[in-house]
Amino acid sequence: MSNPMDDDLLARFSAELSQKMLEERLERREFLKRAGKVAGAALLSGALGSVIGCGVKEAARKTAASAPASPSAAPGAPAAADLAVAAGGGDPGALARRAVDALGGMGRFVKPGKTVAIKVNGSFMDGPEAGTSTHPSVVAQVVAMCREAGASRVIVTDHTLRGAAETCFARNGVGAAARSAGAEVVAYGGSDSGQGTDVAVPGGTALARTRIYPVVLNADVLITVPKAKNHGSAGLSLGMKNLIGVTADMSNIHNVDLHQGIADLASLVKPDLSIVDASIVLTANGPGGPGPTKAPGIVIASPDFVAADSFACTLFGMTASDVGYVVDAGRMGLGQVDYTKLRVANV
Amino acid sequence: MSARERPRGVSVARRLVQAAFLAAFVALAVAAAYPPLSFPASNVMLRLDPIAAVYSLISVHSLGVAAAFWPAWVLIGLTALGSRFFCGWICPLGTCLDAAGAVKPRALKYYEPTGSQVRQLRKGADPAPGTAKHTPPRGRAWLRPKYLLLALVLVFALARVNLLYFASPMVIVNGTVHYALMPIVPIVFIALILAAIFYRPRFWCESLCPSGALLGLVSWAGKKFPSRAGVLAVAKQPSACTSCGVCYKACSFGVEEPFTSEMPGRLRSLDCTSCGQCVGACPEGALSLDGFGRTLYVAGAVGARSATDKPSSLPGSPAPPAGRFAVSRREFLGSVGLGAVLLAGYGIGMGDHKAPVLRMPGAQDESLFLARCNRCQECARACPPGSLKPMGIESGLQKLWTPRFVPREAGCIFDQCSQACQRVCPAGAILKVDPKDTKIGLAALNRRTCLGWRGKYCLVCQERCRFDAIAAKGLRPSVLEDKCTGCGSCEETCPTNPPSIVVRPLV
Repeated sequence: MSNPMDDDLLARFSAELSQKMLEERLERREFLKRAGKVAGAALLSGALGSVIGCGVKEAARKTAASAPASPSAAPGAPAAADLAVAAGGGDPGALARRAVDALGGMGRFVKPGKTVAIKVNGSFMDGPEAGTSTHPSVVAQVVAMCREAGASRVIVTDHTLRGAAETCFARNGVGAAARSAGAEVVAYGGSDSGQGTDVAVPGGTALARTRIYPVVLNADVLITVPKAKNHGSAGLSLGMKNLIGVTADMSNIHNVDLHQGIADLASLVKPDLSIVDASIVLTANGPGGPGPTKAPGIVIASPDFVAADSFACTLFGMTASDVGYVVDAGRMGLGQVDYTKLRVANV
Repeated sequence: MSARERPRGVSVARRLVQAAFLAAFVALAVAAAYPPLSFPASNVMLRLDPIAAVYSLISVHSLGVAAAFWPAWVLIGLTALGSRFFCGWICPLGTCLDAAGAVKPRALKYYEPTGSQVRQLRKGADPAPGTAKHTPPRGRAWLRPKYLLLALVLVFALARVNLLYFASPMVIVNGTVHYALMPIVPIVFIALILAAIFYRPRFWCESLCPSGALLGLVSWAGKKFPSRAGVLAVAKQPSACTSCGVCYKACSFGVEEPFTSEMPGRLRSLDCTSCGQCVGACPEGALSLDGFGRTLYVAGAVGARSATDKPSSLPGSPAPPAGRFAVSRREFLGSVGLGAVLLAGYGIGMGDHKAPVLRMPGAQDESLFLARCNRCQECARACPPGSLKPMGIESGLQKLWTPRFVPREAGCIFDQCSQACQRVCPAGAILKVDPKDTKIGLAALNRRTCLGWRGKYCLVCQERCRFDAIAAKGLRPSVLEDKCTGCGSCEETCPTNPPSIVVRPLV
């Protein structure tokens, strides 16, 4: 994994681009929160959603015109990376911290007093060695970093897949790790948990509506912390695929079109940060295994969740073009599929 | 009716005891929800069920299962010492009926014997001077089909057909608690029972309840014992009685004996539940509520009785006559005969009891399960994901209200819940299984509707299967029959409607 990006100018340009995307995303989160609030009036929510959606686009355009500065604004300091790859194995939590630090630290994404939702992959009952759930050490470090950045509430959540939700979080170790680091754990289970707030997907071409859990809708910051692994139907399960677990009606997305649906969902919830756990990965019979694993010993972090997923593909001997939802998300302009155009930090 | 008056003395005590038992019953029924209470076991009230205990002895052919009903055997033993006090003091259904009666509009009057009927009773009871014998009043004997129903239940039990869902008040109330918490089945049966309070305050108990009939018959044995043996008994001191008839009108069970009896000592009616309503109503203090032969309560002119005025416990007094049935031998034999006829009809016309149904693990022997299951819904309360739903009439009367495993509602998590359903079952209907070697059913895939076989990216079934029993060739799933446990996670989550993968019972 060499960093092909040496051109300073291009790097600065791409840094600006990613900052612009970040701010647009924050705007979007405001929209989502508002959408969640009005969704009680179910008749209105569709119409309002599209109206506010237009407003968001206007705001985004304005943000783009004002051309914000690079996140590490201090003159002379090295520009923070847009995609950080922490390699070399060891404690996966330490890798996650190194990667986020290379992006400028968690304070870039989490402001004091904010509520953070961390969507982990806690869907399966096996421990970290199986490569099916996010490594507990990564979860603990991400929670700790949010706490250090001054977050008032940190919520670790997933809609689990196999067996009772509480059992999943207990057996894969994610629940205990999250709690001991200072997070609340909100676990959902079953085919459709029956909960969630119905919202329209304004930019969706496959997924028109879905029901998002309020803990995600009401959060100020959303961080997706997936386990990178093989997946039977999606090819690979990465940061965007991980987002299916913020929906209550998760079966429906398979009915419409899984790949485009994932991209649509990502366009709706737009995580502010993606931290892909590739410490130990399942390489076949995914997503739940049991199956062969390998240990790349890598954690990837980026505010550009498309780029993070795109990079993670290479760990499986694949490219982004092999994974439908990454391609679809790139086509929708949700992020940079060609991560080589970003400032990549190998740490 | 005296029940409408302010409760006093024994009435207050009884209401407190009833309320405590009802509260415990409901609390334990609620506590059966996962994880079920282990101490006190959440099903201990259901194991206090006398008719279920007798049923298990007759039909289950397992002493272990019958012994698990030890609280009921203790109750039966205490009842055999003298009265069906359970009905007046403990039974949750009886308490519900009393509570319903207490809030019944005053304008709606109970059926009560008229003055001339009461006089008639008294005349029949008035013995010729010097004789202690009285003519048993026929009264409303026709209203006592409970003995017929009891006979039916017991005859059916011999054929291993479980009818406790209408015979046991414990089962009825437990089912109601479950239905009330998870509104899935109309609560018609208990509504009918409660509605009957517009006719008589305890119409179900005095006329229909097979469990009460059983306890009444059991108490017959104890009527021969001196009253000091009985847990609770109503005793009469005839010399203080002015034949006013208030006691008879006060009795929810229509027992005439406190009014008509000329025998000193405790009442011998099989229907006296020692509730003490007559004792509280008696203005003369002629009646008392005794516990183990000691007077606990006397109303009215307290002190009118002397401590020694209890001939039944005195040496040399005549032995009290045995309690009488409010049912003739002809009626009883007729009941048994009718039961046999109904049994035949039930067996012939009501569906194939061997036809497999998807059940919880440990209930794959359908005929054994049907014989043992009391339909009390305790397992459905305990099931963590809510996979169990009571069956309707569609597969025959024999399967009515038995819990069916419905994977589309929720897959079974027997490998994670340590068989919660098995642990709460009071009747031994669910066997213990080894989670590593369990097969409830087998998943079958419909390739014509399966999204994967139609080229869509899905494989939700493979994603959800905890047993690695779905193999995927590209996007196309298939079931590995040797690995499938029938847990139904695939059917629960299949995105198509109806599901393209369904669990079928083993054949």
